[in-house]
Formats: sequence, C-alpha cells, structure tokens
Amino acid sequence: MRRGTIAVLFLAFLAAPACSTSTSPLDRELSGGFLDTEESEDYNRGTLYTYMDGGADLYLEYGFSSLSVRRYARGRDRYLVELYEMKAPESASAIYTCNRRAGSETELLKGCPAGVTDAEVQLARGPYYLVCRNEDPMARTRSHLVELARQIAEGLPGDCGTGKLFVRLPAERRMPGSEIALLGPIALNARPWLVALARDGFSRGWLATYEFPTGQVETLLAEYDGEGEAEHAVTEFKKSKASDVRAERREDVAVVTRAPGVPPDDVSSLISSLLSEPKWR
Amino acid sequence: MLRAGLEALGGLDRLVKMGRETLLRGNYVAGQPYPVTTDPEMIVLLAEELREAGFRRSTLFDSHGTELLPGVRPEKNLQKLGVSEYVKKHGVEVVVRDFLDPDEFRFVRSPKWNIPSSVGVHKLIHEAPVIISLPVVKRHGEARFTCAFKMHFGSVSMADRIVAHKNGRRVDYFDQRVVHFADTTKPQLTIVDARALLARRGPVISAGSEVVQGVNRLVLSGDMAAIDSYCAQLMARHDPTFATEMVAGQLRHAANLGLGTPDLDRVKVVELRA
Repeated sequence: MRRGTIAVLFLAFLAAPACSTSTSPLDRELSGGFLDTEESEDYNRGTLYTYMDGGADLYLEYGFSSLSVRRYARGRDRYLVELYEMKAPESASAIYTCNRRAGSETELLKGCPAGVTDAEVQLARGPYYLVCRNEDPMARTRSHLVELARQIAEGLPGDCGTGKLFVRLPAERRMPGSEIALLGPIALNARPWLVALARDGFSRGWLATYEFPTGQVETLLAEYDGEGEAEHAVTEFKKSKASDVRAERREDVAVVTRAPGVPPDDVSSLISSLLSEPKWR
Repeated sequence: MLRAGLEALGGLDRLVKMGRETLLRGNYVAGQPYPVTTDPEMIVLLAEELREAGFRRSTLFDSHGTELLPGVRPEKNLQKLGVSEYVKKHGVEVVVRDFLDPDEFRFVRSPKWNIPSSVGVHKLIHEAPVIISLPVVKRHGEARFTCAFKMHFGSVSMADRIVAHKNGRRVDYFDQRVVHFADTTKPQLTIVDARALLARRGPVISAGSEVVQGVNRLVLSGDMAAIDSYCAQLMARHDPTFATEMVAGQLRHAANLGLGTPDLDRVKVVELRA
C-alpha cells in the first residue's frame, strides 16, 4: 500500500511537460557565427528539479513558469542559454536581483541593465529572466558572450529593470544595485547574518545596503503573515549572537539591520524611515 | 595526496576486514563536471588504493534518474560526463538505479528521529558491507550547503527527497531530514574532493554560481559531522554569502543522533601537505 502511494506521488511530481509548438523568443536567427548545437530542452514547474536539482526551490518560490535551454557554439567556445519565463515581470526582476553580483551591473541595451561577468550575463526583461553562460566557468574573455546575450535580449518583449520593486525602500543613501527582492523564505539565505531570522510566516522582503560616512548598513524590510509572526521573528533575532545587528517591528513588518561601525543614531533614523508608513499606501 | 590522507587515518585495513567489496557513492546530480559532480579521476585513484589494500570489487553507485521519463534516464549524467566509460576502463563497476522504483528500496526508520516516518534507502546501499562516500563542496538553495550529509539525498527514494523539499519552509524539518537520510547510509569513510568549491549558488552551476579554484584540499574522515564542520569553514572562507551558522542546525541534529562530532576542538585534525 505504501509503495503504491509513493509511486503516485512520484508521477504527479515529475510529470513530463506536454510538447509545445508555440514559438520561443529563442527561435530567432542569431548573427555573428553562433550556431545552435543541440536540441532545445524545456522544463516546467514539475520538471525543473530534473534540470537543476535543489537549485529549483528558489525559482519555484519566485514564480517560475517555464525554462527553455539552448546551447550554442562559436568557434571553440560553447555557450549555454537559459530563458526563464516567470509568472509576472515582477517575478523576473526579483529573481534577477537575487542572482546578480554586486558591482557587476552594466547597461547591455539602452535602458536594460544586466549583470555581467566573464562567465555569465543575466538580465530581466518583461516576464523573462535570461542567463547566458560560457560553458567554461573559468572563462576570461566576455565579448562574444555579451554579444550573444545582447542579440537574445533584443528579441525579448517588455521593459527591463526593477520597475517599482523597491518602492518601499527609502532612496536616500541607498547603494544602487544592492537591492534584492525576497519572494519567500529560501531567499533569506542571501545573507549569512540573516540565518537567525525566523522563516515561519515570512512572506516577502527587500534587502538593500545604505551608505553612511562611517560605514554601510545592510537592511532587510520583511513582511510577515501576521503581527505574531513578525514579533516572534524580532524576538528570536535579538537573541542571536551576531554582532552589530538590530531588529524592530511595526505591525506585521520587521526591520533588521547589520551596521558594523555605524553610530546607533544613524541606524535608528534609517530603521524609523524603513518602518514609516509608505506614502503610496 | 589521497594515499597520504588514507595513511593518516590508519590505512584501509579496518575496512577490508568488514568486507572485500566497496560501494562508492559518487555525486552525479547533473551532467556538469567537477566541482558539481565527483571527479572520475578521484574514483579511479581510490579504486587503485582499495585494490592494493585487498578489496576485490569497487562499484560506483548513483541514482539520479528514472526509466519513466525519457530525458531523465538514471545513466544519463554518468554517460554525458564520460564517467561510466572512464571508470569501467579502470576496473570499477558502475551501477545506476531508478529513484522512482519502489522495489529498489528498504524502508527504515530510527527511534532517535524526531520525524517518525520511514525513509526508503536504496537496497544496494543498505546491504553494502563497505560504503565510501565521495562528495563535493557546494552551496545549495534549500540546504544552504551540501557536502557529507546532504550528499545522501542521493541515497534515498525520490519520494523522500520531494517530501523534504516540500517541507522546506520548515527549516528544522529539512535540516533534520538531511541528517536522517545520511543516517540511513552511514558510510564508513567520506572523502571530500575540495580542490575547488561551488560557491554562492548550487548545487549545479546556474545563475550566480562561482567556481572557486585553488582550494586544494582533500578531506577524509569516518565522521560526517566533523567533515561538514571543516568544509563549511572552507566555504565560509571563500564565499562571502555563506557563514558556518548556516549549517549549525544540521550539525546539531547530527550530534544529537550520535552521527559525529561537529566541534573541531574535540576532533584530531591532521593537515598534511603533499
């Protein structure tokens, strides 16, 4: 009996996606000598684990819908292109902020910021999150990779950037590119100092770093399902052994900060500003 | 380097007395090479050491697929990476098993577990006289870190892996299950190939991942908790988005179950240069 139950669970979870005949933004021809080398792979919410194992948890939390994977060759170089379609443009922007590397952002197309390293280019546009990667993770030249990403990004519909994703965060002193939108508790793994923050009831949050003359303040504005969960999170966080951290709450919203070397008054002022009623409410 | 490490642990004589056949647990979670997956060269080098020590047979075991879906055959990753062909050429047998086939598992549970439901562990693992686990050191979305303990998600049924992930919002549930899965396997020896690490994002190379080379460590022990404690320190040294506190829950559960000693002050750490 037990075995039968398990088999049903397996099949439900790993059901293969139906074949799709719809066109993908990746179907357009590329110039510059990029050759599509292998049959494309497509994944849905049920099969994403088979592609990236435990890496799938984060994408599912962020509203993943589907993934198309293509492989390209240009001379001896091999490139992997992943095009994630998320349930909404906000989801695509949010997963982009979660994965981009601080200091790596540059404008790939006009008005379209992208995280660019030697091995990887990533950006969000409309409901799409695009990742182009050199198959050699130790690659040291990026020009062809950037060109591949640019051509694909040009064909994607919608706007680039983070839109109104961080409208709740005060803009003054905020370091550009430091913002991360957290759409669920797994994303709390983005910062080691948040390990003591309770996940129970965590709904969503916004991380950002603020710059003061005396140092930087990392902040998380976190929404919980209710006031009780927020209070529990703040109480438990205050017990953590981490140094230079603070936590405060207003209704179902908690603010936690890490501010090594920054005067307490500056941090208090920032917390107050983060917890104040947003003007758009 | 490998031989020096084995000798520092007292050699392989004690393992030979437990049986002359070893099951080598590699990590082939994806069709991506080391450090995402176990380097086949490490398997061949270890097999040579085992042969010299008196083992008759070494078998590489993996279970990351199913015959039910065409794109996820159990042998897919090993074949794509050329691992099967390479290790067979050097006398190592390869066995892959379907992670969905209920006939492949023994269902076990321990009265020490706070989560009472049983776990399906692969029969071959359950019955193997000697198991040597060969993890790599990586970040992981839900577990935050994968090395000696988390490695054994690949030792149990896909149903159990799914249930653990589905309960991922309850960190304590997931951390406990990571340890329970390792408890079903309890390898006699774990050898971590930490020449390189997969930092920032894992357990496969995906957006935001970083391969850190030049770490140049092999970490060997019969104590999975000590291994993970040591390797978490390595990761923390090379990944600014990681801290050892992120695996404290797993290590605490492991210590409570008597699966090892995460406190490295109470472990004899021998560091050799080769």
